[in-house]
Amino acid sequence: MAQSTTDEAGGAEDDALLQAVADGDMRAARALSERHLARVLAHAGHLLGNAAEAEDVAQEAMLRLWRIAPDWMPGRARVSTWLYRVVANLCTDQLRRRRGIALDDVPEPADERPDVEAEMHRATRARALGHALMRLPERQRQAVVLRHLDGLGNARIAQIMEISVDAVESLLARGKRTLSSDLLDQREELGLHDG
Amino acid sequence: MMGEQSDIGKRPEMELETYFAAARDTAPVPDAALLGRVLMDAGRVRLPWHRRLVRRWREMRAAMGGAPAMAALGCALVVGLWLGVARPDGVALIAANVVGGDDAAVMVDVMAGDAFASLEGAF
Repeated sequence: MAQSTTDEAGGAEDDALLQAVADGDMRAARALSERHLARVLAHAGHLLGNAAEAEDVAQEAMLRLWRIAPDWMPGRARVSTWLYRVVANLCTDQLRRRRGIALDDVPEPADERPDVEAEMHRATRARALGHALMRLPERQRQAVVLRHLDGLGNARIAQIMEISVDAVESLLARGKRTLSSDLLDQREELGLHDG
Repeated sequence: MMGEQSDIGKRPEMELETYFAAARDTAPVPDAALLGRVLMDAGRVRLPWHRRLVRRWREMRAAMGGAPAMAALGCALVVGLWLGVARPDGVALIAANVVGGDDAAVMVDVMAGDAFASLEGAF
């Protein structure tokens, strides 16, 4: 993936925006929110399996970003990397406070006409994956979400999780093996078939 | 045979990818309310004093009309300082005339005699 140049440019832009936020520039705060809030929210949603809790985590992560803005050192770390770490830590705290498996609240489609069957299958798969992810050990879940839902490369994941690339690959392999066996076993129950 | 086996090995991977795709498509998206709360938090964060000074300066500058207004103000400041420090020759005179002081300091001859005579119809 030849993303490094784009990433570097994006990282430098984030640094400049964060400096502006530290000077009280609200337009910079809006720009940073538009760049990162969706990703932060989606990541929290995948780690927690609960939309309401994900919103709380996303808001808290952005608040911590505003607080650290005056002390942010440009070039030392990427804003996105920092946010991923903060979200992971907040989700860990949230999961400790919570018991059991979080309920995914992808809404059930009310309409069962044949032309929305594909939509139903998609919602069912998303919900099933959410439950299966919650049954994974936390680090495996984080690695799988970063790789397959956030679309990051292994090197970036290694940076975010502060582990080696080999360790990332190991987490991914184990996580996906567990997910495969878990989800494919449920296929019949879920009414999902090949094709 | 080998092709079939590698296909079989790939099927779980491909099938898992359909689940990942579904999850990506249904990921929560921030609404206006969440964005509003995040921005409100940004506005409420207490900055260090030197950052607050920068913010106040920016707000004042914007209220006064931006960079052109500040440039004009800057020029006026420089001229005023120069007048006060350098005290060019005419300044004391003008100051006395404007502020009031010695009424006899300024005498301007406008040929009053001829003017008076003209009013009286001499010309």
